[in-house]
Amino acid sequence: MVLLVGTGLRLLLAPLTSQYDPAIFGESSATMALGGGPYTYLIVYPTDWVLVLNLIGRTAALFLPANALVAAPTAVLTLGLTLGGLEPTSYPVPLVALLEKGFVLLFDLAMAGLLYAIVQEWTGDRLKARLVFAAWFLNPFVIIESGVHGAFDVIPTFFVIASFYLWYHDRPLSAGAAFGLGVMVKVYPLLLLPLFGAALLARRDLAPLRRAMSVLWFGLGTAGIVALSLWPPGIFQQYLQIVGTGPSVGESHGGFGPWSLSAFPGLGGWRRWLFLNTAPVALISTVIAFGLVTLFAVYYARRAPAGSWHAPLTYAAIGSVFAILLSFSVAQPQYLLWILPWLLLAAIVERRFRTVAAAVTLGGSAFYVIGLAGPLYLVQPTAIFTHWISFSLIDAAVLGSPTYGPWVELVTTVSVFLLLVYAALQALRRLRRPTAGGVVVAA
Amino acid sequence: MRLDPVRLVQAVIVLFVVALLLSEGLLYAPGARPRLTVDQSFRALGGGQLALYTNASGSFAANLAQSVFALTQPSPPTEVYYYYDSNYPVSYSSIADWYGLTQHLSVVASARGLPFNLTIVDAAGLAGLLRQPPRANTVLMGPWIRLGGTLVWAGDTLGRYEGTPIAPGASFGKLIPVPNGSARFLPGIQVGGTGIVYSNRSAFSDAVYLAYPYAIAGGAFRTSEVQAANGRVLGYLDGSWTNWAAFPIGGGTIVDLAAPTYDVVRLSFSLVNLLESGAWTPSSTLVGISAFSVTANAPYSSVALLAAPGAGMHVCAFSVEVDYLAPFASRSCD
Repeated sequence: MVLLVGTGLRLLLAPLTSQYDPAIFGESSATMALGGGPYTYLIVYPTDWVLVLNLIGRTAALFLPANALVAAPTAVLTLGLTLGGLEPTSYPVPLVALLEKGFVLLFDLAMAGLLYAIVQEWTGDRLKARLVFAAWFLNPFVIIESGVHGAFDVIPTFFVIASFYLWYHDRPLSAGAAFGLGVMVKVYPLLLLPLFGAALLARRDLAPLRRAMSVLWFGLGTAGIVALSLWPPGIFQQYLQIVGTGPSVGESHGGFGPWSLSAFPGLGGWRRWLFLNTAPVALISTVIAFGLVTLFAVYYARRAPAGSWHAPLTYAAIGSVFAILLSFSVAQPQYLLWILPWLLLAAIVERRFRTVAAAVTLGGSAFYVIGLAGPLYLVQPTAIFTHWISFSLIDAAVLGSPTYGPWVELVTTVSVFLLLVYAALQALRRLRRPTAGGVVVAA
Repeated sequence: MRLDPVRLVQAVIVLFVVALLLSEGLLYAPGARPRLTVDQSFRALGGGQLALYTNASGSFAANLAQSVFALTQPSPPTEVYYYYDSNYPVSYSSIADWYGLTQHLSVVASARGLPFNLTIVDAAGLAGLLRQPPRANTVLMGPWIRLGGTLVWAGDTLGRYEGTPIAPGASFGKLIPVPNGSARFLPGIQVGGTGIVYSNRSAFSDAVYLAYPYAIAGGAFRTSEVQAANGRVLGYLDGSWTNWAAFPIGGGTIVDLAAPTYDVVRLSFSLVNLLESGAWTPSSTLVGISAFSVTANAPYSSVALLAAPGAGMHVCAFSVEVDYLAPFASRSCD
């Protein structure tokens, strides 16, 4: 029933909804189906996601002409212009939307299965394992991400968790490959490198030589994936040029991170400074995020008991990902998918985290229903492209109110920011408490 | 049978890697990537006539437009200067789009294999550029155009510019245009129109695929005035108004796109098509337009008879795929 309902909801929503990112994905797929290269259409994602988009475009082109994979009726152009360039000017046709979101759905299923396996192992309780499966697969925020937004953050997050899972099941080559895939789909897993380092060191149950060999196999697995992804001549340079050029295609600040504070009235000068200094700001925030993750990693490496990885790793991961979200220069709503699986794992065994998981679900969903994603970033409303309804117009009316619009946006983003701070502190408290065995008793 | 979750996770990894390999094969294996080829060549037939031979084939269904121009300069421009200065406010655009357009232009030009050198200049750099050859007067743009330069203006109405930089620490701010800015560029030309998205394409827009339908209400040109000024209607039409026009100014040209620049994807393709066709100058003559299609099983061939160009003129054929996001175009001259 969970499978049926979760899949059915996603498949119902997928073909007829769109948003800024699905428009970009559709345009990238279409460009490659029309003979373009992987970065002929400017897109800021690493190569493996672009390769997936190529598959989607080429699959769709088996059924439709390549020049019909995206649609851009005059009404869409007019809406885009009316909202000051804050709306996409095309949308993927239903088949393309279904294929892209269908691919993401597969990883929603894989993630649900992985969480099931981990909880089963962690608690020995099949009911809890089923609960976490349902909690993920029927999570409204996850359904919105997969079925409407088509955000693919579940894919790198699956590979991150899979990497840890395989590492602790003595499959270092697969674990390294999973980590490599996570990075080559979306770069954020690189920020978790200290945590991976701690996990590698925490295997005190392995003899030193065997541990060293395992680390080597992990490295080979990662290197193999990176080589597979970057072998075409010039591809890495193209990618670097797109993401590294000043206030570039992927520039943004805000969302619900600390930079959301720049949404306060009267701080226009600061917002301008942030934009003009995108590159150094991103670099500094990356260093801060990396440093904070390293702190969690050190805690984890020093305190994780041998052979019982579930609880300490989960809390260290929660703290680490929150640290990234709270320090990074941009924190879009779909980034909450980086933390939600870990939160659900913790919530199954600890009541304290159930509130946080619920709040992240509600807060993330609210971003989409009322289209608030931070002061400098693009408005990302839920949009249904039929001739008789569009939430975009509702969002435009809400946000267009000169009195309330800016405050609604600010309150939402700052609220989620504060919530994440609370959750990160909870994770830190959990991490400092010594753990025993494989089960953590709910406080 | 109990499923081993470790093996299942490994299976997901393997399947994903297989998908990546398949995708790479579709992109990089010889003959696997969708391709489109158009060969265009001219042959003199004598008696003041030329023949244009066109052969097109492809692995997917594509719609193309072919335009033939007689023009003095057969090569598209290779040096393009792009004004961007974050110290000044933005109008009918955003700071991100203002900068981002440069990246899109470079990528589209690169995909076409065009020898296209895009140089970003700020306000000081622009002044330095316009002072070539060196002159003492403070009015820079008009003399530079008259000496043969081409100004392409997009965003707010032609001539609405801000002369005062944003104060340090201030927000992006709203543009406060200098008085009578428009009159400095095209005195006597009236602008108007009410639409913001036009639906009908002009002949030139069809020929060269300038697919940018947006407009600034009150900033468009009346087609009759464009023609009266010996200019050329380039863009979309809304009744008697057009959003894009070129005007001869002495030895040079003003090309004005009276439209917001939010849609950088469409704008980049349109601008590159305009530059690659080399035919934005009103002195060029549109000799002919045709539209054709190819599919995987149906290539295209044609021979067109043309009058040979006059002395000092060349004739060039420009074929472009008229589908949104299609990267293909080809240009050949006699």
